[in-house]
Amino acid sequence: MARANSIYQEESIPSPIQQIWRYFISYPVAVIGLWVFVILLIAAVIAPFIAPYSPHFQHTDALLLPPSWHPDGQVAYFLGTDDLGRDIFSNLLYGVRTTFGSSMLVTLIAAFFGIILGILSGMSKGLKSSILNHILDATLAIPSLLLAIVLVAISGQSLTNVMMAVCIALIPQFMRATHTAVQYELPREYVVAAKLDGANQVQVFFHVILPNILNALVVQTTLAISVAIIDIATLGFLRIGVPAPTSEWGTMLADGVDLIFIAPWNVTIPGLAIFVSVLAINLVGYGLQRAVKEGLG
Amino acid sequence: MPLLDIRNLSIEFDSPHGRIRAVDRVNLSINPGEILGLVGESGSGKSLVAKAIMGILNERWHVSADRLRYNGIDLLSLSAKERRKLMGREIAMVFQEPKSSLDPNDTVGHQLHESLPMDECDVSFFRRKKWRTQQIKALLHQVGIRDHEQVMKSYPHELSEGVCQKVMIAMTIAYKPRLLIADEPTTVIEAGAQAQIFKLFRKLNQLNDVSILLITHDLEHIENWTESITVMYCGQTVESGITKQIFEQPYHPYTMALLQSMPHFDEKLGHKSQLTALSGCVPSLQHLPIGCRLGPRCPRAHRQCVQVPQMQESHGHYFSCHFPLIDQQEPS
Amino acid sequence: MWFFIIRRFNLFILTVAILYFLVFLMMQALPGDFATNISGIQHPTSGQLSELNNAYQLDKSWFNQYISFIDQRIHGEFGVSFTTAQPIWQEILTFLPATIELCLYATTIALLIGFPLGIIAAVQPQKPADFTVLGLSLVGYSIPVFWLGVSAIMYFGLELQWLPVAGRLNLLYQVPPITGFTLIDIWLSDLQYKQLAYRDAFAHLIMPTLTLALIPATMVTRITRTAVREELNANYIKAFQSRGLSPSTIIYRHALPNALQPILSQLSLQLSTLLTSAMVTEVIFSWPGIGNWLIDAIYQRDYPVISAGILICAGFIILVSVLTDIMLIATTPKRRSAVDGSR
Repeated sequence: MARANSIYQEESIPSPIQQIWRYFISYPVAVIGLWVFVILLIAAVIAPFIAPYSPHFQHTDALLLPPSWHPDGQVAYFLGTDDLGRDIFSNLLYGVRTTFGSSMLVTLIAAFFGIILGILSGMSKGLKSSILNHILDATLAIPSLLLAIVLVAISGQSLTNVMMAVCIALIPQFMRATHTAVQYELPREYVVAAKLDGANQVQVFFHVILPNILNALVVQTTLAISVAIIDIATLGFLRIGVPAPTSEWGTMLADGVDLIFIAPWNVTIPGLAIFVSVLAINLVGYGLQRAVKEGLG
Repeated sequence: MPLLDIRNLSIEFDSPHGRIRAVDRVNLSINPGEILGLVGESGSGKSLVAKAIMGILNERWHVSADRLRYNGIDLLSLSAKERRKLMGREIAMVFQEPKSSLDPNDTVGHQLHESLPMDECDVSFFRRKKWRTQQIKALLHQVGIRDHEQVMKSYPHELSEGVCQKVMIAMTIAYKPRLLIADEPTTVIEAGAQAQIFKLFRKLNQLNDVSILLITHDLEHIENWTESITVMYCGQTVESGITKQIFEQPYHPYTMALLQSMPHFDEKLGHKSQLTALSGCVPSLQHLPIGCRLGPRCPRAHRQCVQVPQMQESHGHYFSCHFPLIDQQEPS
Repeated sequence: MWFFIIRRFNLFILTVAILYFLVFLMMQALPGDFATNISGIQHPTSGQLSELNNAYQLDKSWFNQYISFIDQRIHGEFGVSFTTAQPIWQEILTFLPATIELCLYATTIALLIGFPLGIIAAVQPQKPADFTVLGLSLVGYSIPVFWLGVSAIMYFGLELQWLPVAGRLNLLYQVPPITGFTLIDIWLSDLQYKQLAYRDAFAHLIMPTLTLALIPATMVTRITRTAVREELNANYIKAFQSRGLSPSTIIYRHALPNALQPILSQLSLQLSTLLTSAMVTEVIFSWPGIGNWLIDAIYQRDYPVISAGILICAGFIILVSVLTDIMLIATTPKRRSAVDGSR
């Protein structure tokens, strides 16, 4: 047998993560989404350094300037100014931190707590599981925005309160997704096999179930980021969100509504910003979902 | 003229790793009234071949062949509509998991109603339902289901796999096909029902002159129920000929290994001795060997095996191997 | 089957009880006096105080308070609003039909658009039709509902002046509210200018409905597409194909009915998103519904109204999801066993 000097290719099967990554890269829209996402992340970090002006500074000589490509616009105020003379571009950049950056943070925290709680409820059985299930159902019935609004109303308007409110509102969604994923895997035979091998609950969880639900969790996280962005922006739009001096895209849009007839760019530009960031996340989420499905069969 | 004539059938699909040729230039032919067995391990592509004949592969798969003819008609050149007409009328297929091949949310009786041919119904409109029920009753009795009322009222998940498979066969013979493709029909079925199904096949073959393409990996079934066989390994045809001849004297090392792997319990096996099997395992689709795909595992492989061997023939016995076992003795 | 329905109903009661508990807790956390928040009476006289004590068992343990809280609410006693001093129950009856009307029409449109699109995309995987539908649904899903509403107002309402931008009906038309649903009320009344009233009501309905319908339409599309695609990959579909059934028979008689169950169950999970979008839409278009009322109450810190609003909204969602569950159980009598999942 010709073994030692084999003329056949070595078998190197890529790991699941590599497979998923390979599939992900083959979807152009997902890659575009990823690029936009990365750009937004970078912008959130370096916003103070690249913003041309301070977002709160009111340039009284440049009120309601249209964006620079309009004949009346100026390049100095790239995307125009609002009725108080504040530069929209700078506001937009600082808004990346508020709307985009804080939603990332909020989602990660909510994911952490929600997943742990979801695991506990998913792996519990009997009466405890039933009760947790019902509590979950009841909390999920309350629309997340409503929950966030009420929490802000109770605790007052500030960036931290808004973040906390949206975070608490997102936790049930993670709980439910994790719970469903765990419940789906638990009765499967490879889990039974592990239990028969002598694994206790904790071991079953970490080594057997967790790797298999990771994909569902990652997809859920990307979806949750887009929900968080829209929730924070909606709260801002309803003026129950982040309070005045902090730049936030939803608040910018709400401010622009009064000016809609004379200066529509005050509405369009923040709206576009929200739209683009949510679209990017959704594209990444879609790409991940498909890649996971193809990569893991 | 063979009823089904396949020459150099290749089935490929696109993956991120490139275009993978799952089935590589397979040859097959069935004569009218013959039972042909298509043997191979799981993953050898036998089901793909069956589905390609039926035309039910989805768009991901690309089918090409020098010849894919049924009764002289070139299947690849038919339009979708013409193909559909041929399916179910002349060629029928029975699947591996009969329970999941039935609509789970519909009663068996209703599905049988749907699959009855209505062209030959010359009964008036009002008597149609009764006529249909009678036809179904006759079909179910023909496949060996006595309690037709109970079966017709049930949903698929309430019946055993054996009964479901018989129902599937009943659905297919309603149209009196000439060729029946059975894709691992008894793999999930309990032993008692297995024999019944095979007897049913033989009855169909002898009484109704139905040719059968029996796809299986079980060598005992092949030995008992088929007249000729084709052996496939990893998407390539390896050997084909009359069953008895091949079982007595296989020419291809893979066939030899297959036959040797059947344990014979009438001999004394040493305590904790190993069962004979080829070393290694079936290559994955992403890393198919070039040339003869048995190469890495074959005990008789040499450098020449990097080229795909030509199909040779000797007394009606086809094989493709550079180093066939022509001068060997019979397997034990 | 009846066993399932009764069980589901029990779960419904239990879930609502937990909901009430959560709201009860929330009311304890609100600033201000508990009795005031729960009844809406801002400076109760001693007579009113003793009445409140009786009604809500305020001097007993929290459990008694909780039970009496449920008791009061079930009998329609939601207290009065801080801002208008009107019984909240009356206000609910006025505003709820408007929201239901909007949600109903928007959901219908979403289903009418989303369902066919999803099916089209599912039967032609990886073809241009599939990509277009998927792309449209991803884009549509990413548009914030308030941006869409405001832009619609800007364009259709102000610039083109085609459509009115606020409210349900022009104040000129006095339509007696019988059911609360404008179109039905116009039909039931005996006004001389019914045609004009219809046109006006319709014009007021278009923008909010279409704005609200966008996100559910995209969700319906995606859910339908995934569910039908899953069904089409099943073994039994291949079996039907091999018997020569035409694609349309396979889709409409077998794949679709079987896909309905996962579609409906996933859709019922999207209810709370729908309600959220409805609330924002109502604010933008000044549509006199529960959402608008609730958001106003939040601006004004009208705590009784806020708690009532939550109870109504969440209770509504729970009710609809229970009804959907029951409907699902009723229409798929013999459910596939959990073991059957081989594709």
